[in-house]
Amino acid sequence: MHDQPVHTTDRARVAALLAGDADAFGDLVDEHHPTMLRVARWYVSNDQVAEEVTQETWLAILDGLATFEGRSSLKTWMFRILANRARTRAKREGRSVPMSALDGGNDEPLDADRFDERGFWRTPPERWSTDPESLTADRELASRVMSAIDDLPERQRTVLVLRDVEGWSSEEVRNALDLSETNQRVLLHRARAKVRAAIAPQLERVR
Amino acid sequence: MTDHPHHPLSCRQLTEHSSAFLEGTLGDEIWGSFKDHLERCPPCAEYVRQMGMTVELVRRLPGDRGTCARAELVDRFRKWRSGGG
Ligand SMILES: [Zn+2]
Repeated sequence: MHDQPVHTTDRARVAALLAGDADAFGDLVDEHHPTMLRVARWYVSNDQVAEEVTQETWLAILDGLATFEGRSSLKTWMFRILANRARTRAKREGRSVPMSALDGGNDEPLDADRFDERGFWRTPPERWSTDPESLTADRELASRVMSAIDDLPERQRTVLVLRDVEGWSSEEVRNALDLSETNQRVLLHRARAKVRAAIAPQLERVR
Repeated sequence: MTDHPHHPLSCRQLTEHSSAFLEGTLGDEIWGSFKDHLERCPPCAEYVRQMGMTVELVRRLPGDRGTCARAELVDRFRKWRSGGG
């Protein structure tokens, strides 16, 4: 969303890394490693391979640091390296990413029976009476949201987490995951609709 | 309330575009009929409001941070350094 014309912070970070600042590297790992595993897992068949790819990627990032010019953000640059390595690994494994890229593509549209044959509401959504402010302060609700996310099909979950939890732009997600605009949008929408449906019973009861 | 046959968008179609609407990425070709439908259909307005609240709730969740990989990777970082890069 926000433009970052000059990646000064990134350049400072890269300079620190090149100077051997281990804490700067540790912070970078803390910040990105879990998301890197998530993105690697998008391409490869299991967690262990994702872990291997991510470890290799860190070394590739270190080896490439001196060539980082700040034309993209450090994050974009890092995830480009990760996606390339994960793609290569997936190919070696004989895993065809595009074929599976839209899982949930065949799942039933959510709430299909809530609409009549013309597509108008048969069972309209019950009103949520809570105001947004108190909603976001509700911890029990937050944990419901988390378990709803855990229950999502994997690819929908990955897109939702990157977009809405990590705050990535649609372009960043499309690049890291090799997704078309349409597929990204469909996966994100399905994920959000499922989370909405999962928390609805609780919010309809709050009155 | 659920009977508005003149809308070019059905309620179901509206819900399917609700995410794009909230993102501000709704295509020009359906923007008009989306807004028109939304203004006249309270259930759809409620649905869109709920989707917005859902997205807001998801956005407030803490992201993935921290990892047991830190120590091991920092170790490799030091080796990478001493190996002369
Ligand atoms: Zn409607």
